[in-house]
Amino acid sequence: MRRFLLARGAQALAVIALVATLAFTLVHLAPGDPFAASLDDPTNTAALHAQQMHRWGYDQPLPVQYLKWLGNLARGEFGWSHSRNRRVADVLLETVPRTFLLMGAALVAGVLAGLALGTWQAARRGTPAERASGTLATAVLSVPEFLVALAALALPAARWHWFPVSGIADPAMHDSMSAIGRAWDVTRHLVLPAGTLALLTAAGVSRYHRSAMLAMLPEEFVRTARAKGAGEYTAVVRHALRNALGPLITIVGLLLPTLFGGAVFVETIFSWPGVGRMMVEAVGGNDYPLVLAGVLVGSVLVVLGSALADVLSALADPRLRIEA
Amino acid sequence: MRFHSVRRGACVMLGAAALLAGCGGGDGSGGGTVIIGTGQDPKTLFPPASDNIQARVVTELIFERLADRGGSLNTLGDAGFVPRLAQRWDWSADSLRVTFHIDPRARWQDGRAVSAEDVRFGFAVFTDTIVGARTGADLRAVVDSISVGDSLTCTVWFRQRSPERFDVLVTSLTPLPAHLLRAVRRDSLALSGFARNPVGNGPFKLVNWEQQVRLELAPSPSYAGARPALDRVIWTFAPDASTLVKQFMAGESDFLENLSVDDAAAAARQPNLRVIRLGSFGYNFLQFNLRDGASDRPHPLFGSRTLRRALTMALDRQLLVRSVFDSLGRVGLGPFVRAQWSADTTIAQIAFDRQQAARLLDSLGWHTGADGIRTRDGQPLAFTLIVPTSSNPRQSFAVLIQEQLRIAGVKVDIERLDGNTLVDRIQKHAFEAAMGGLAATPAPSGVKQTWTGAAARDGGLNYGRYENAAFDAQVDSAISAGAQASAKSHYRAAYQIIVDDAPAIWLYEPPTLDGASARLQLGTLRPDAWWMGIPSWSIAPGKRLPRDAAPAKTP
Repeated sequence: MRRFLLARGAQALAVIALVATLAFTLVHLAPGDPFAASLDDPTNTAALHAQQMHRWGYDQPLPVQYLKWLGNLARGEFGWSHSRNRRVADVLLETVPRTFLLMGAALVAGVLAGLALGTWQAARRGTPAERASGTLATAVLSVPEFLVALAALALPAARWHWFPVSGIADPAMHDSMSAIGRAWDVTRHLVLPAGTLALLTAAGVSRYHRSAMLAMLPEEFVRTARAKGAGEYTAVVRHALRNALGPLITIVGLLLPTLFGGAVFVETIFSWPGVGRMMVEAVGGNDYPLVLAGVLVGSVLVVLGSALADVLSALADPRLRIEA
Repeated sequence: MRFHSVRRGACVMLGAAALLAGCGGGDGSGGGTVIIGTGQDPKTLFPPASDNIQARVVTELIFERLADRGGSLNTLGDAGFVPRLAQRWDWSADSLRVTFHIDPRARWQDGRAVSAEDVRFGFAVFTDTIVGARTGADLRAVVDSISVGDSLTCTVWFRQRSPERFDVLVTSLTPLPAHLLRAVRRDSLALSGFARNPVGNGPFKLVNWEQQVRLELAPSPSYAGARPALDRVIWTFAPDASTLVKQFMAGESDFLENLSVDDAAAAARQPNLRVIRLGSFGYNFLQFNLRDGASDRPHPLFGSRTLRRALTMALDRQLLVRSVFDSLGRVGLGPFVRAQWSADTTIAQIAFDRQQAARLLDSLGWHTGADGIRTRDGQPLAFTLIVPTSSNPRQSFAVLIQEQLRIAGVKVDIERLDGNTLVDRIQKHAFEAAMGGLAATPAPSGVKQTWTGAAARDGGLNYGRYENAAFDAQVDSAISAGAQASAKSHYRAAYQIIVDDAPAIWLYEPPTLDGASARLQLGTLRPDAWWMGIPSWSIAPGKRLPRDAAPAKTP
C-alpha cells in the first residue's frame, strides 16, 4: 500500500508541476498585463505603467520570472494580488472554504439524489415514469451549467422570491442575526448555487448508478434474498444497492474536477465569492499571481479527486493494489 | 411593432422619472440602509492608488477634498466650485497662488484635527513618483508647491496661469492624515493596512469590507458637516450584469448604475422602482487607424480624408442610434459630450447622403463590382472592424454599420474580441477600424490626451493617430484661454476641424440610466459623480424595510 501511495503521490506532483508550468506560460502569453490601462484612462501613463511593471518584476525575462515564482512557491508564498491589493494566500484563505462549502453541499446533495434516482429507476425499469426520468436526466446533463444557473436565477429567485438572487449572506441583516439565523441565512443563499451543481451531479450519478444497479438486480444473491422472504425494499436497498456502490467511488472522485469547473460558472452567476469567481475576475484583470494560485488550487483538486478515487478503489478492491 | 410601442411608452416613463428625480429631496427624516449593486470591488481605498471607478466612489465619500465642482460642472477658474474641507480660499493678485482656509471643525476619523500640514503631506504623496498616483502627473504639471501658513492655512503655488489649474488641484489632490502615514515608507503606502482600512475626514467612515461580498459605510461621527441622513450604505458586488439587474428588480438592492435600455424599460414598468436619466459622459465612435498598422505609413484606405468622409456620409447615424437605443441615445457630435460646458451642438456635421458618398468613392477610383462591392485595381474596398464582446450596444452598432456600408459597396468584416485582446490590439495600433468609446470628464481639456498629435505618440490615447496641426493649435488655445467665451470659441473651431477630417465616425452618446428604489429620496444627482449626493439621500419613514432597522456592524 505504501508503494502504491508513493507512486500516486509522485504522479500527482508531476501533474501539478506540469499544469503550473503550462499555466504560467499561457498566462504570460495572453494579451495585456496586470497594469495595462483601459483605453480611456489618460492617468495611466506609459511611464507609470513601466514603473509598475518594473517594481513587480514583470519586465524581466519569462524564465527569470518563472524561477522566482517557483522559488516563492516553494516557500509557500503565492505572491501579491494586484487586483485585490492583498496577499494571494489571504485571498485563498477566504475563497477556498467558500468554494468547498458550495462543492461539498452540491456533492452530498447530488450524490444522494443521484443514488436515490438511479436505484428507483433500476427498480422501475421499463415503466413510463422510469423512461421519462431517464430522458429528463439526460436532458439536464446535456445543458451547460450556466444555463441551468440562469434558469434557477430567473424563476425561484427573481420571479418567485423563494431564495436570494445572489451572494453568500444578506448584506444588511446577516451581522445582526443570531448564530442560528446566520447559519440559516447562508443556507438560504447556498440553495440555488449548490442546487444547480447538485442537479447536474445527480443527473450524472443517476445514469451511472442505474446501470450498476441493473447489473446487480439479476445477481443470485439478490434472488436468494428475495427467495428467503426479504421484501422488495430490503432486496434492492440492503443487498443490490450496497454492492452497486463500488463503481461510484471512482465516479465521486472524478466528480471533483467537474464540480470545480462548474463552480466557475455558478459562482459567477450567483455571485458566490469563491475560487471560481475569483478566477474569472483575476483572468479579466490579468492578475497573474491570483490566476496561477487558482489554477494550482484547481489542479490540486483534480489530482486529489483522482488519487482519492484510486486509493478508495484500491481499499475496496485489493486486486487493484496488486496491479498498481 | 408591439415591442417598439412598449419601449416608446417606457421611454416616456423614463422622462417622467428623470423629472421626478430632479424634484426629489430629503424630508429631513434620518436613518435607513441603502444597498447599491455594483460589478466590481474597489482595488484599494488609498486615494492616490484609486484606479477604478468603485474605488473613486468609496474614497470620495470617506475623504473630503478642499473643494469640489458645483452643479454647473464648470472647470474654468473657481466659478461654481463649492467649499468642502476648505471653508474659503483667497487668490493672490497675480493669481499664481491660492490660499485655503481649512474648516477648524474638520477632524480625521481617529479624532485628530485636519491641518494644513495634511494638505501639504497629501500633495507630497500624490506627486511622489514612487507612489505612482494616477493624478500625480497632472498635479505636478500644474502645482509647484504647497506651503503651510498656520495649522489651518495653506497656500498652493501654481506653475502657471492655466485656466483649469483650480479644477486640476481640487479634483486631483486628497489631503491625507500625515500623523498616520508619515512613518510609512512611500513605496509601501499603497500596500499598507491603511489602504484597506482608511481613516478619512469625510461624511462616511468604513465599517466593513469583505472583498467580493460587500462594503459598508456609516456616517462618520467626527465629520464637521451635516450628518448623512442614512445609517448605512452597503455595496454588494456581483460580476455578472444580469445578476445585478435581477437583484435590483427583486428589491435586494436599492440602486443600480448603468441599466441597459431594455432593463430600464422593465424597471420603469415596476411601481416600486424608478429610472433616472443622467447626462452622459461617454461618447462612442468608429475609429479609423490612419496609419498602416503600427507603422508610420498611411493606411491604404483610411489615410485618405476623402474616403473617411465618404464612409461617414454613407452612414445614417440617426437611424443607427434609434435602432439601438430607441429615443434614449443621442447621435455623437464630435470628441465631446453635450454635458461639457464646451459642447457645441451647432458644429456642422457630415450629413448622411448615400449618393454623395457614392460619388466621392467613384472619384477615388472605387467602382462597384458585380458582387456589389467596390474595387480599385482589383482590390476590394474592405476592412476589418474590431468590436469588444463585452459591449452589446457596440456589437449591435457594428452589425448595423456593416449592413449600411454594404449598401454603399464597402465590405466590413467584424472581428469580436474579448476585452484584454481588444485593448492590447488597439494599444499596439494593430487594427484597421475599431468600435471605440471614451469616458469624458467635465473638463474638456481631456481632448488633448485623446485626439491631438501629442497623444498619437508615446503611448497616448490617440490610437488612430490622427494628426492635424490646426486642430492641435485650437485645442492648445482653448486650454490656455482664461475666459470661458474665448475657450469655447477655440474648442468650437477645434471640434469643427476634427469633425471635417473624420478620423472617426462619431456615433453616439450612450444613455446613462440608473435605477433606484422608489423608497429612496435622492435629491439631484450630479451627472459626473452621482455618488456625491449620497450624504443627502434618505428613506421616508413610511417606506422602511426590516433591513433599515438593522444596526451597523462595529468596525
